[in-house]
Amino acid sequence: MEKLPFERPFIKKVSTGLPAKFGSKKRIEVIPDIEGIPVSHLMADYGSPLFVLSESTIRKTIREARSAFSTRYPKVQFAWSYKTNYLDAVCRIFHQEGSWAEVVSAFEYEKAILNGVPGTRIIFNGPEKSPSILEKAIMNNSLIHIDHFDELYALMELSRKLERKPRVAIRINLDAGIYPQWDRFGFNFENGEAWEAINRILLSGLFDLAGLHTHIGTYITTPSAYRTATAKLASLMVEIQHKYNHTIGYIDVGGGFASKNTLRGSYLQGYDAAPSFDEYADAITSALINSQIKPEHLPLLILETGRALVDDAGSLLTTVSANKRLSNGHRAVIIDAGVNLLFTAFWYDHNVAPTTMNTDNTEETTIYGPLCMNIDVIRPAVILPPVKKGDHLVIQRVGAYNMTQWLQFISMRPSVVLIDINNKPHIIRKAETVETIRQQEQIPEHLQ
Amino acid sequence: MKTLRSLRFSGTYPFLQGIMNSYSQIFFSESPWFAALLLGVTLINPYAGIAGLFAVILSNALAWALGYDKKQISKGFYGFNSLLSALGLAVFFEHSTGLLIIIVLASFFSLFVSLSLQGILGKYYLPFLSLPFLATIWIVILATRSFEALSFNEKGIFLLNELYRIGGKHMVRLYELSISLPFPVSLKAYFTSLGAIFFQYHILAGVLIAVGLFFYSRIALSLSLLSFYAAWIFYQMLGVDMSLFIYNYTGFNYILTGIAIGAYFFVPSAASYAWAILLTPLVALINISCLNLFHLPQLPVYSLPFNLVVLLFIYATKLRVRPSATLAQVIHQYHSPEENLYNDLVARDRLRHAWQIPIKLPFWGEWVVSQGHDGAFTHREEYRHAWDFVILGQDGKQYKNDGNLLTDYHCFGKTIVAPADGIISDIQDGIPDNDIGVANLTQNWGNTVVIKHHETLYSSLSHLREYSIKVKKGDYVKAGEPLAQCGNSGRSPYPHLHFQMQSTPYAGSRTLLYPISHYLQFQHQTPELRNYNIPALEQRVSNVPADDVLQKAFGFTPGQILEVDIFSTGTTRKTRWEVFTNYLNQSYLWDEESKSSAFFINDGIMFRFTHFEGDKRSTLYIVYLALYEVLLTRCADLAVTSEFPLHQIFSRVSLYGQDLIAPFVRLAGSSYTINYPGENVDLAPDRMTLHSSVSTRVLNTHRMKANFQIMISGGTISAIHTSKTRSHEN
Repeated sequence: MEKLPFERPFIKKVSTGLPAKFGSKKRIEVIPDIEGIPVSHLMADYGSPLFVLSESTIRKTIREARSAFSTRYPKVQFAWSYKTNYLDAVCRIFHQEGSWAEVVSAFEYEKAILNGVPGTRIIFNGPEKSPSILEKAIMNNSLIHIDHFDELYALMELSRKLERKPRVAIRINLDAGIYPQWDRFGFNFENGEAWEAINRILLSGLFDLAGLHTHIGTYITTPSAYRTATAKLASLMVEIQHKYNHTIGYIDVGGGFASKNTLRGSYLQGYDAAPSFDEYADAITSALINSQIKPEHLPLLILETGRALVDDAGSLLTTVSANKRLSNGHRAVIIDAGVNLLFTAFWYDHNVAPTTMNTDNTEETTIYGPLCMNIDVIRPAVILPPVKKGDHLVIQRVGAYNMTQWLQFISMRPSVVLIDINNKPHIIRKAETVETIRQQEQIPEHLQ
Repeated sequence: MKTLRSLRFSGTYPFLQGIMNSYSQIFFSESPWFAALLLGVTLINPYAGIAGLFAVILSNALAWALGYDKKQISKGFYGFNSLLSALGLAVFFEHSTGLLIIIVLASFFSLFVSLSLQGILGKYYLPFLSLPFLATIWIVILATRSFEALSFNEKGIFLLNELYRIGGKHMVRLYELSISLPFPVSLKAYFTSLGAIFFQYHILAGVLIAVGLFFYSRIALSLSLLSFYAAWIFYQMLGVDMSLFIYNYTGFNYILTGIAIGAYFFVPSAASYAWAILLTPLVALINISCLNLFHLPQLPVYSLPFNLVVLLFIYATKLRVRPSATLAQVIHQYHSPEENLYNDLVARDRLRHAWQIPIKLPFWGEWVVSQGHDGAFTHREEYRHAWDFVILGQDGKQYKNDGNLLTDYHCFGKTIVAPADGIISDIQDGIPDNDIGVANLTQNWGNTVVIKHHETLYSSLSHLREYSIKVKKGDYVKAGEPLAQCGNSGRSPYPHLHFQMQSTPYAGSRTLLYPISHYLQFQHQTPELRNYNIPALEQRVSNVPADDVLQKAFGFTPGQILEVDIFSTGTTRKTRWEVFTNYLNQSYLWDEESKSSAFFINDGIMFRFTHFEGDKRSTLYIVYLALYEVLLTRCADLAVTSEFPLHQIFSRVSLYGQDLIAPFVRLAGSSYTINYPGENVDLAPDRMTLHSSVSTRVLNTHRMKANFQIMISGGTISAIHTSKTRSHEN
């Protein structure tokens, strides 16, 4: 007779009768495999912890987003936000799907070029652009989004020096009716700074003012804010046409679409709270179609969506290192992935799922990472079945920002695996070793 | 400097053309060297030849002086009947001042008859053929019986004397050789009949003309033989005295009928060949009956049977209700059976709808046909040429969630746009959107917009969302302008767009079969282009996204000068072409250096060269090949393919073998491919590169391949790089 699996004992309050206001017993999702490959196999082959990305989910999501916009508006272009996930393999999937590149630093710019993106299809955002990279962007005819006057002056100088007409857009911050208003990037719309910049750009004759850009924030759950923002850009475009007889080629409404992750402190689950691509698309495109822009001048609509396109595609596979009982009797579990790998744990209540479930019993559990730091909390409270050392847990929706914001801290960063559309895994970033870290270091002679 | 082009417009050149074409036009040709050969043939009888030339010059000059269309004069339309009349008269009458006067009068008369018949028959799109000649020569012959001063020419009787006079011993020997050739009687009769067209009743003239005919058109020559022999067999079958055939010199009626019906007025095909042969007995019948009838007034029959049969047949076939593709009349006449055929083979699909108003799909993005033409549900009978469109999600469903709400449907609320420029002619609004599964049978069409694109061309968009219509009756809308939103009103159990073309301005009019000009079809991995096609059931389609840069670069306007650098292995050629529009409103590029022109059409989505005329070594020919068919799109991963008319790709001589069987079998072929660069396309890039290639095929062997790289910068085509690769593959 096969030995039954051991289940550790615990004490649980029995609740009978009608469900309380918190509802009935929570059903726990079990994730035994990723795209058909058992989690245990993946971890056996590639180690633990392990980031796994699903190519089919990425493609499905971008296609869904594209379809939502392109059936509502004739000229739509997505630009992959590099900072969200700039692993080359991920970027190339998006480029294959027709996305341009949206970069915010010299590093990202170089990465986009190395990924084979023509300079003309790179949107260069961000508040910090050095003269050398600006020069490169100008020569490549990239779309430079001006963030502030000092950048404008620098570009003027470069334009004269290089005798080239940089293709630029200005970033505009505006009151879209939401809080907080992001006003630290770009020129303000309401106080007239945007017009000041437009006047200087167009009167100087040094630039090809190709577009207008705004980025109202991140994880915006109200599509109407996009409607307001887009309508403001559209009116600005009409006024520019009126004043300078200059046609703006594109309107870039930035990113900020919410993913299906649940924000910490949010009452509703992210799955229910996050608007669909259709809702965003409807708000943005109807603002353009209903604007005073003449049909023949309808601009190209650029979207820099990052998070909503890749978050769902990523999972973090972890192994339980230990079980603990805290001083208040609360159950805690230590896993082998900490906040240094899962930066988003600071603001999301990530869904954490076991790979097997042998019991109906669950218990509220705190999940800690392996760092020797008090802040290393993955989930302060999550309902989990009893797990034991060596069990696997899958943390869902980790595709955005984690693989760019992760820290090499205390331990090394693990492998990243991409499961292709034929459900075949590929390593797209090797796990770091001590040597990876050491090779950057130099030891002065007197310490050798 | 007076160039050929300035001559072209000054008058001397068209006038000379008119004289030459007056000769070649008898065989429906406009080839100058064929004309020169025919002129030579007429000069075998020098007096007659000179008289003919005199008459041609005279009638063309008169037409010119009286201010008739120079284009028509240059084509020789007003000269060939005078030529035939003068040749006939000069052969039969002794040369004298009296004859000269008669020839002058005959030329005038024949010109006036030509002009009048052109006016009368032209209304029915019929040619006047050699009717003016018949009228002239009969009238003159009848009249001359009373003229004492004119006497019959005896020179024609002593042919050898005449030949000796022209070319001495050699000419006589050549003649003797020609009759001593071991030709069968029938072939000799064939050559004599050919010669008889120019009143040269001997084999020598016939052989010369046959050689000329071969070089002019293999199809025409083969048909001349076919129909001649068909008549020969018919005569024998009916037991007609063969001497009537051979010595009456009316055999050319069969030859000309064969060429006219089989090759010239109809696109050469098995059907046209069959008709050419079938009509021969009819020509023979009319010929024999005319011989008996004209016996009374003692008039020769000449080409009357040919004229009668050809005119009757052309007119009768024009009245067909369903013109068939197998026996198609030539619409654009290239004056060469081979060119007519090769052009038609390609244009049949490629350019058939090219001059129609282009109709686009009335939406943005990819939609799927949920009910096509002759659909399973409501697209029947009078309403069979209609489409229903929906949007499918990635799971292949029309809806998300459970599909119980209107808003679950992907297409609901999506913008519907105008399929072409037009005026809003009818609007129905205020009909509520049905719940899912409910159809409003009393207000069948639901909220509808009808747009007038042309007097008899309307488009109708139905089942729109209530109160979503943004336009009003009488508004002018541009193609692609938003009109309303897709909804679920009227007889619509689930949200979809009903789209139909019609010829009357009401919601609910009967449908009209009319193709979508260009669209992309997503069947496989990469989109495929469809031109002038009807999207069928379950096909996923979208409009072709237009590209501003390409549209600008290919938006040639008359008067524009194009300067393109052509690079081929090691050499650079600078070019200078000008855009012209002719009196038929056809646009073309003109290359002054090589006197070549390349005709094109551009409907805003696609630029196409339709025809090339001139020197195939010119740079313009390279551009004709390189830019044969350019989709002005910002599409990625798209390859557009097409086919050239054979004579534009192969040299004339290399096609001689193919020409003979071309109406039945094509062993040679060509293909053109243009590729669109990159995974995606830039925002108004200042540089673009297109790649095109041309390959030829003989049987299954791919012979030659030219690759072109077309550089577009600064809004125009700036350079074309060419390279030729030879490959032999199966």
